[in-house]
Amino acid sequence: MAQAAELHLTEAHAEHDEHRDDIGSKLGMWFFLFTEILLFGGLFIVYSVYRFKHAEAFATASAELDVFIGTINTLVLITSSMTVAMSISAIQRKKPRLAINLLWFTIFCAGVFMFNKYFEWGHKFDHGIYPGSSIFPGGSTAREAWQVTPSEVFAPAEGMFFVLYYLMTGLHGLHVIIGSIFIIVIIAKIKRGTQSHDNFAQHENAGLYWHLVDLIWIYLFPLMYLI
Amino acid sequence: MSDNHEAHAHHISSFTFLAWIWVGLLVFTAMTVFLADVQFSGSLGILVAMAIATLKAFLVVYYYMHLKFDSKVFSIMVGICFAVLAVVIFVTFLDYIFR
Amino acid sequence: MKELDGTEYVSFYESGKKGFIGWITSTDHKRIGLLYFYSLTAFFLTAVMLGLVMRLELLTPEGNLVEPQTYNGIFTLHGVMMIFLFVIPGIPAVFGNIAMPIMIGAKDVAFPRLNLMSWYMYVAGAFIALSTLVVGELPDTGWTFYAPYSVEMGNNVILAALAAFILGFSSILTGLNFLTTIHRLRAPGMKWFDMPLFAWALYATGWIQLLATPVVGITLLMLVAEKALGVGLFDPALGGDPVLYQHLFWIYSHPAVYIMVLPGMGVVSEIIPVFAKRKIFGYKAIAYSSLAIAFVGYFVWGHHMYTSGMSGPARVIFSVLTFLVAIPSAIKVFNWLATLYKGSIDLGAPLLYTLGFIFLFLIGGLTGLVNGALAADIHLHDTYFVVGHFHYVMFGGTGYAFFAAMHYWFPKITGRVYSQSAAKTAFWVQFVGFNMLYFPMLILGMMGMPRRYYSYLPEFEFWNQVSTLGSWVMVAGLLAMFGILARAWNHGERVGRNPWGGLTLEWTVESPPTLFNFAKIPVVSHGPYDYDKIDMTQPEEARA
Repeated sequence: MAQAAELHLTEAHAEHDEHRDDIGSKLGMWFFLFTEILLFGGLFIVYSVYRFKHAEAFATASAELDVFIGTINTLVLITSSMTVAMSISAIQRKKPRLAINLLWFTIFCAGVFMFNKYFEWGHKFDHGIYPGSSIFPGGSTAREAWQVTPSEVFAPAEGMFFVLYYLMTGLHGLHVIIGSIFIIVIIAKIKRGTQSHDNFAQHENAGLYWHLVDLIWIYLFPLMYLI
Repeated sequence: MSDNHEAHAHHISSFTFLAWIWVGLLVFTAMTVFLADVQFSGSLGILVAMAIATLKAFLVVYYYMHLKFDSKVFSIMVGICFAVLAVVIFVTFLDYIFR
Repeated sequence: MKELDGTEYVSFYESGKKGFIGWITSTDHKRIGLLYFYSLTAFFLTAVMLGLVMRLELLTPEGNLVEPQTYNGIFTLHGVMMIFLFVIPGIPAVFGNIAMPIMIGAKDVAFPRLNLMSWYMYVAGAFIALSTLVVGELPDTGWTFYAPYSVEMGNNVILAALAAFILGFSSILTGLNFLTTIHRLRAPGMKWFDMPLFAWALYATGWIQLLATPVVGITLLMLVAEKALGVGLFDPALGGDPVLYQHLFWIYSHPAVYIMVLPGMGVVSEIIPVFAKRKIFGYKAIAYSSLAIAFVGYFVWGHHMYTSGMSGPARVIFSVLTFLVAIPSAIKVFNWLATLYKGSIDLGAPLLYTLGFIFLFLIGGLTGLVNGALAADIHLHDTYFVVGHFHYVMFGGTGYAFFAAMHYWFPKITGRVYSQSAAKTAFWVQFVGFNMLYFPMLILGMMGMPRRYYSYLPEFEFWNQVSTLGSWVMVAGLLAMFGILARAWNHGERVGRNPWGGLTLEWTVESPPTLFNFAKIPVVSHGPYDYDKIDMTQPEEARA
């Protein structure tokens, strides 16, 4: 008898165990964001040290970047951040349709951002600004074909700027893509009704992630384009 | 018991409010772009740019990421995270400044 | 079916799916903890064997057992496996998983599926690390992968670095999980300062895992980019700085030392009050010192780099900060000793290992201060003194705490108990072997023997032979220890819920526990070490 009762208890538990803890889920997301911040932090440390060592070269190399595109991308990301925040307000007010539209708009912004980035990177590659090209310092081609007039070759520290540019914006771009996928999943969940006005923890977490993407860019923009 | 930060009622930010924050972010962006053309002496330029970026970051973290409306525990932890990164950069520079 | 107090119940071994697939798809924190235990022990023993080969090579001054390059590969693999596959995941992944949720009165961790994913990442990382054995040549850089050597020369460094990256993220996810669990899933009535100190230690550890590990992650990715594309991040000819690699590496790897040792200190803080039947002395001081170690430990990384060409003022500052870390560590040691003082001590195997920990960690910690002293380190850097020091800290510290935890929670995990006298004998063999193995290294270092060479000058021969002899004694003790426990797992005497007379929550549940640990979430009414209020010195039956 006792055994049967015990068994019954365990099963009752199994159902009961699927408890929901929205604050716990948000807490976990924040902890993950801390990790992301420190992940980028490593690159920021490298950037700040090399900029300190080669301030002039970094300024020269930075002038190669198009401030206009950078500014546009900043506006795009800021706006997308706002629409994500708005979509969370919308879902809380029981307006799932509006929430979905705002999220689609966010995805659209992400698309514009990535399009600009693609355009920008492609432009740099066309001009031979990539590690290993003939005018890039240290590239194998450059080492062999040193006939290229030295003035056309970047100074080593200028090359370093672009290496960091590619690494940091590249990693950031990866996060834009992951964040977009996260948001698309949320859109699907709202449609299915698994995210709604009384259950929007994942929606909020996707928002937090997206804001982080914006946050990183807020620092990347002046460091890359403006100095 | 777990931390006492169960929200009584979940705070809902109004669209107007979020839009005003957006305006603030735009203003700061414009500021940083214009100030970039000003020739500051020495490292003042980067300090200004970083200060503005930090203000923008504060707007995003505090309002868009809801820290203002969450329990204080969240703010403290976010503070710790940024402080650790800042101190690590500072300590690294103890080497490079004196080299 | 297991039986306890005459009633039968279903333990976590029998709940859920059976067989290998059932285990590797289970999200039960106890099963995941055991999965970690099996895999960790396997890698630990493999790495021990590699260590044995190195010691055998060093039995004679001439290098006549393995090729020099093979020797370089072996010490690298030994380091990578021990650090990334055993010591860092070690206590949190195994005993944190098995015991911590029960100790705070939870049914599982906050994110059970993430927990399982951490284990998968651990296994994936381990496979990639071990694949360097068969794919191409072994990396020969040492576990630190220092640039520029690792960029210019190292074989298979990309694979090893990627492995470390994945293992790092496994560790981060475990930390994240534990932090959330401790914040959210404490039983009703358990305030922060009612938590067992093991949970406090894991909490502090979680923060380091979260805030330090990603830095090495990105550093290793930069190293991979550097090797694959030759971008010059750490190449002086291209404006880079190799010393910056060392900074980045140690920004993680020094805090990682506290990832390794803090959980061990937590285990010690659990075992001592239980085996002395006394309330822990200075509960809050121990809890706060965990946080203090985590915090200060973050800013002392430069003491690994005194001879790297770092600026003078930075070296002095790092040296001063290093001395600061000794304070919270010493606070803990004094509190433990004060707890033992006038206790009714039961010198069981768990306590014996704990005392072993304190003794060995003391030597490790004090030699650490010698290394941390700027002037002394210039002389001792890259000698066997350093090797001796960190083996005392990592093996004598974390390793012994791991063994202590293994003996302490063994009855809870298996429902059986091992022979005390056998376990104690194994301890003494191991302990004597340990000191024979590592103490000569301190002496050799003072004499000036450099580390990482496959041969040495004849004047170092005597102490090297003592050390090699010690390695055999120690391994014999280790194997005996595992053998005794493995035997007891199947044939040991059955025990009840609380064989040691502990007051923390895991001793209130069945041994082995049920799937969700508690039939009803407990309401905590007394502190974890209230031996002054509750008399636990009576045998279990009398208490019940």
